[in-house]
Amino acid sequence: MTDLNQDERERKRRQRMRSLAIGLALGALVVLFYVATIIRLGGNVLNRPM
Amino acid sequence: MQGTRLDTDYRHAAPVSGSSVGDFIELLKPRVMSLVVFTGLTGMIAAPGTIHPFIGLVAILAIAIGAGAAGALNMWYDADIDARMARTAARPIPRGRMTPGEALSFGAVLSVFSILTLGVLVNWTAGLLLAITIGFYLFIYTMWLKRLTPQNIVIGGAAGSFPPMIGWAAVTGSVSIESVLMFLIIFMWTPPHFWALALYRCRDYERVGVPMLPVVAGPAETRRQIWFYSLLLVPLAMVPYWVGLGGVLYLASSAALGAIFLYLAWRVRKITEGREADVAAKQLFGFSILYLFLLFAVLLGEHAVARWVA
Repeated sequence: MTDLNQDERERKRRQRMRSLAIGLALGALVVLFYVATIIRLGGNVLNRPM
Repeated sequence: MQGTRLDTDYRHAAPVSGSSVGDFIELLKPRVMSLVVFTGLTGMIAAPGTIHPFIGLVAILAIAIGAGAAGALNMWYDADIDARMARTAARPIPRGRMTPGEALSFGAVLSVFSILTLGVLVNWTAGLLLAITIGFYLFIYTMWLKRLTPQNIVIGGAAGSFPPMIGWAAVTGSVSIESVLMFLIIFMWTPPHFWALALYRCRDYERVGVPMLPVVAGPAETRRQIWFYSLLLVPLAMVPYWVGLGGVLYLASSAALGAIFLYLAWRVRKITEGREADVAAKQLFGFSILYLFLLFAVLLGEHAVARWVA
């Protein structure tokens, strides 16, 4: 019974770590696209008709 | 046995505690990834023109993730033979730490993301080349040639040769003679590199029915072919000097390293019996990694210094 609980705890811990890693990866991707877009647009970000 | 998949019980081995983040990282073949990053970076630095450092970083990241994704898809498809080879038996799927489905979806998602990222944020020539690399490694090498022909790694080696071309294309948006030359050097390097390994891992490949050259044609023919490809590789690796891609330091390094490569390949050809034959093959395998690394390191260094001075 204890072994089963331990296995379950370990499984949940790994699942949490996986979710955290996926979250961080997605966050990094958002930052990556945001910064790259600003860089690629350059000065043109502000260059638009008002 | 050739051309067929083998039955093993790894598919029924449910992960006891679920796969960890480390298992997913292992799936990306970090060691292969590091060589890919290095050659890709060399292609990028050697290319004429400029790229914003952040966009360059994005390109390298996308190349690395794309190469890793191809590795994950390879481990998904080859899990049956991995389980029966000493070198690969501890990988996450054969060990039951991960299901094949997890590896497949992980590899597929990363493939799509890396290609799209490279295409959208850098340019579509580089994105297309990365797509070809992943497709070639998965469909042409892993699924088709690996289990079919002893020439598997000759043609399949093209997949590992693309990174400097992708790096070059990330800067220039095109393919040119210099980037094709870097491709060809890795392409010619792959057969002696892999066959040196296959010579002393021959039994492993034989057991799982992968028709590596030593299994199908025998060690003597493999030694002959290693020598033949080495003779092609060494002069080819000096050509960058003549097309202006490498400088005098590159030419001198290439000649010196090539001489050692030929010496070790000659030893592999001549020493055919006993433990010494294995040692000779291991020495060539080990040196071949250093050889490629140093060739590209000198190229990288020369171009980095030239940029810094300019």
